[in-house]
Amino acid sequence: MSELLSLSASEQARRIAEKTVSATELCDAYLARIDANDADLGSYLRVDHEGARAQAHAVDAAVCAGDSVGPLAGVPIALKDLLVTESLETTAGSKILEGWVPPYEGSVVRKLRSAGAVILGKLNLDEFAMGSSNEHSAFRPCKNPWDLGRVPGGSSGGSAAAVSASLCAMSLGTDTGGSIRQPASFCGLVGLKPTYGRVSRHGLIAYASSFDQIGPLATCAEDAALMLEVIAGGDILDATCSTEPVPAYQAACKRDVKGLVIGIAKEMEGEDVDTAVSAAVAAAIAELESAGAEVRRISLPHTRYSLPTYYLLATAEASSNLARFDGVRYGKRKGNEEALQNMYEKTRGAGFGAEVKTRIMLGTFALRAGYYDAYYKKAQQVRTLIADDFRKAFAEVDVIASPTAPTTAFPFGAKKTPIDMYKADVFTLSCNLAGLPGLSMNCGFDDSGMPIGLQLLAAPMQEETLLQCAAAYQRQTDWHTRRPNFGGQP
Amino acid sequence: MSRVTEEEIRSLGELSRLALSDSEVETLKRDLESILEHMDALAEVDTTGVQPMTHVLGTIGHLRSDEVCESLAVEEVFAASPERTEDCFDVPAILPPGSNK
Repeated sequence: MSELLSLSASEQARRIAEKTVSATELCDAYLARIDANDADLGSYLRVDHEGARAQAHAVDAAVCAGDSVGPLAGVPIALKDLLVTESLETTAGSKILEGWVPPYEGSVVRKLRSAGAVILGKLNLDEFAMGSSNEHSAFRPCKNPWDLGRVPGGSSGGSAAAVSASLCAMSLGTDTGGSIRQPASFCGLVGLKPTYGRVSRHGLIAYASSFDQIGPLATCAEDAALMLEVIAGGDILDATCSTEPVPAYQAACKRDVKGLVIGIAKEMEGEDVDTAVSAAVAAAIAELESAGAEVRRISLPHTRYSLPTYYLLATAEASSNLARFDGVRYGKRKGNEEALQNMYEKTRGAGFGAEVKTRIMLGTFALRAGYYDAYYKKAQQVRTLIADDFRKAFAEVDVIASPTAPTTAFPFGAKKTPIDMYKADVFTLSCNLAGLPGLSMNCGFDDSGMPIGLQLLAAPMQEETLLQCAAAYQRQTDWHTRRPNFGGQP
Repeated sequence: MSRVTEEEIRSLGELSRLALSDSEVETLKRDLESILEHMDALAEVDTTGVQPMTHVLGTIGHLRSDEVCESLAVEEVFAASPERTEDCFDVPAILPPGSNK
């Protein structure tokens, strides 16, 4: 593997701007590694060789001409295939959208392109971001580069596997209930879910609109900060997107953690957590303490209801959002010879996979007349209580630390029922219910050599605090520098 | 006690516009039952007087001015549609063939 591919994205950007590395050389190195190795991993659904090379050439031409280039100029990245890319097929990991070539560019993709990023391709995911293992991709499962017999996590499994296996420098994923943080944990990366509204959702195919956020997966905190600085900020095309100024996230990575208060919630520990995970998380918190942070015990009493609250509300939103896939304006159609309603039913029956159908049905159930008060309204009330718990906690502490997931990456086929799979998200859901920013980073390995994730949550719009903590931790430890033995290492 | 009947699954399938095979109906019945059992935990939370959440951060949507701006190219939009007649999306009749007499 080219030595270039083991550099951080920030370092790659520096070298391209200094002309010690060309964007084309870097792009070709990644494309060659993808072509040689991704068949074994399954992280990409589509590689855009031609488009990526054209972007890299344009960056090189601009650098040579002495033009000013963007902060991501020449950095090869890849996108979860839930993000709409103009003229590049976008499927959401679903058969129902197979072959759809969007006529427009999502806002985040537009920002990336104007920052000079080279987009290598579209990454695998659970269909419509519904899953925690990538086993629900309608095309093929993506594997974990640390152990090909295990899942990379989900739903942004391809986004995590590709960065971890050095098949792109950074990626974007989306997080509705943990879909950036849990795969980041399973693949040993930094994954950042921004505050609700921090990043525009225009061009993000909606799963649950009051939860969804786009965020980076990277090998270190500085890279995540670099990416977030580019993608955050107001957007006229997303009415829920905050117009608050975007802080200098990269500068936040230089601060230490002296005097920072870390909360540990008793509801985010417990007997369901693997002992190796508990031990690594405790050691990571102790490391931050030794760097000057203070630790305080707190309680978030209603977060134990996160799982039922999330799965009722997110599926209710999904049942409404996915109504647009009806075989009329885009996607595949079935049953055209029959009456309209039969056409809808056959199109959707054939186009959606089992997990998507389960969630649409559950959401329809929760919204149904007669059940609405007992399920949907009740869950929205509990969501208020969960958000209140966090509001009170953040009056006392700066961040809340916990395991990202109760276990490390599990083998394919290990989760036999929907509920078993849903429990993989038990520590990540409350963050989305309360609209908070959350980060996962590698804090060690279990006996099987699988990465363990530490989750940090902060108050709304406090991404800087998360990045500050992560960068401080990564200055003191070297877990994040380890790469899986996949496809040959430098 | 089973609280999700087969009939209910079929009715939810119709509301959700999903054609379901018999084996899918059976699996969905089993899975929804087990999922709903876990949802019952919410009943024990005292939510008296608690406002249901309407926006997670309490902010309202930003509105933009009502100005005419560039829209998507018609041909590019229709390129993705399964059936079209000129500048309209084509759909089957609402009533099944033969039922409109």
